[in-house]
Amino acid sequence: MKESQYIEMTDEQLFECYQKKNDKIAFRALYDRYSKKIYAYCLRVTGNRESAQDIFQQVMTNIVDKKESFKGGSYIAWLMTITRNTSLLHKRSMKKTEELSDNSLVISNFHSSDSYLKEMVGEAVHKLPPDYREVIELRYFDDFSYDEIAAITNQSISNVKIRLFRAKKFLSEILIPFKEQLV
Amino acid sequence: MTFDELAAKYLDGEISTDEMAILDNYTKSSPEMQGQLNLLTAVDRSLKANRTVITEKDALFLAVSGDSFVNMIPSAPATLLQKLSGIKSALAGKIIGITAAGLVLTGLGYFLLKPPAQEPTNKAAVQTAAPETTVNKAIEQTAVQTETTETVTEKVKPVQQSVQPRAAAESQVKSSELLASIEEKNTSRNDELLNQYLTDYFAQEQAGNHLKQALAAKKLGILYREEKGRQAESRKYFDKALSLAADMNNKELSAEIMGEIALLELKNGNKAIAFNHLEKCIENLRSAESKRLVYWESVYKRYKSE
Repeated sequence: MKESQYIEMTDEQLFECYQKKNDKIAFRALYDRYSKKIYAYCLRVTGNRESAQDIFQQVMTNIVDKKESFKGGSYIAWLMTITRNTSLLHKRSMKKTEELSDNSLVISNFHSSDSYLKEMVGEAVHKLPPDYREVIELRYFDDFSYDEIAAITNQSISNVKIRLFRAKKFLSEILIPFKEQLV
Repeated sequence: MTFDELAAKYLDGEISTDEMAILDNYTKSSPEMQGQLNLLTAVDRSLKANRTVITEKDALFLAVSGDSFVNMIPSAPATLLQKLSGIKSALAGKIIGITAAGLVLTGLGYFLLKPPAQEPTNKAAVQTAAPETTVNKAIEQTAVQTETTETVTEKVKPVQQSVQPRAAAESQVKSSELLASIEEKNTSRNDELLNQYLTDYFAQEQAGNHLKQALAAKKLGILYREEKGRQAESRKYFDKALSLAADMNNKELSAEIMGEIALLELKNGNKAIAFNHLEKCIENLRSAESKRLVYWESVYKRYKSE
């Protein structure tokens, strides 16, 4: 099979090639599609590179070792479930060892940058209801497409769009006191 | 269409000209809506600015991890194509056997049968009756070769003369077509990758991006390593990658390349060189406190136990 044919294949077709035939090119194609997004997610939820790299490697190891656990459906949804669970376990273990005493602060600091405004928006995102926050983070921080978010959250694309818009409205309401600085 | 629906489309950049005209009407008639749209646009812009930044170091980590995870995947069970490749030599052996048998029988025929000199060969008849295919052309070639070699064709019984070379030639054509298709499939994929990596390598060299050039050289090394008879080229690119990594004082990348060189040398049967490189790789990773240490240590243990 030519390289170009892999590019045209869906996630699920690629994963099937990898799952059934140990097809390294199919695995690599999937890796190239999602590694940055998964890593960005890990980076965001942990707030530091070292932990993000730990989680990322754990996620990828799980995919290599436990490929049989994928029973069909959406590949990205399965991948994100593994990523979330691995991140959660990692955060718990970090809390136990008290290496991460104030996670919210770390996340907040991570979002901070040279711009005060960016920091404010980052803070505001953390005040959103979980459903809204999730779509905002997936769309804006991790760069997932509407299709991918729909698969991850098990919603239709139109529902994702509606939720995302409502989340932005919610955010703009939170940020009204900073309206002048924003606009 | 409501203001919210139009605003959502506007923020996504999916609004049509007609819809934009309606949205303009909303905002012109209501300062409150104009303010809302301005605020939403500003929030959208700020959110985009908050995108998680993947640095060059992160990209390197992802590139190196990608290669390693691919290496972790056990080789696929032999596919039909690979099985066919595997029988390549056996098939070639059989062809030689059949051809040799043909020659021996032809020779025997000459001594045993000794046909009268005037008896015509029916080679021409066979050729006329058979359709003009590649197989028939090859049959003709093989038959002619047999004649030349044995220089007895005119004296051998016509039936024997046509049947023996035909069997050999048919096998030869079928197998050579099959082998050609296998070679084509195998090489086209590698050629495609090779072109891609070489283009990248020279582009990065020209751009003066040593890190990306080193990564491209490493990929070329890996690709050549998997190709028969291209081990020297593999080593050449690994050495180039190693020298670039050393210039950048990038211990982690140097270690990764040394690990890859070790795998090449193991393939070449140079165990001492291979283990020396693996030890250096591990030493570098340890001093760089790299997470990749666990992986290369396991590679080392695995090969050392063999």
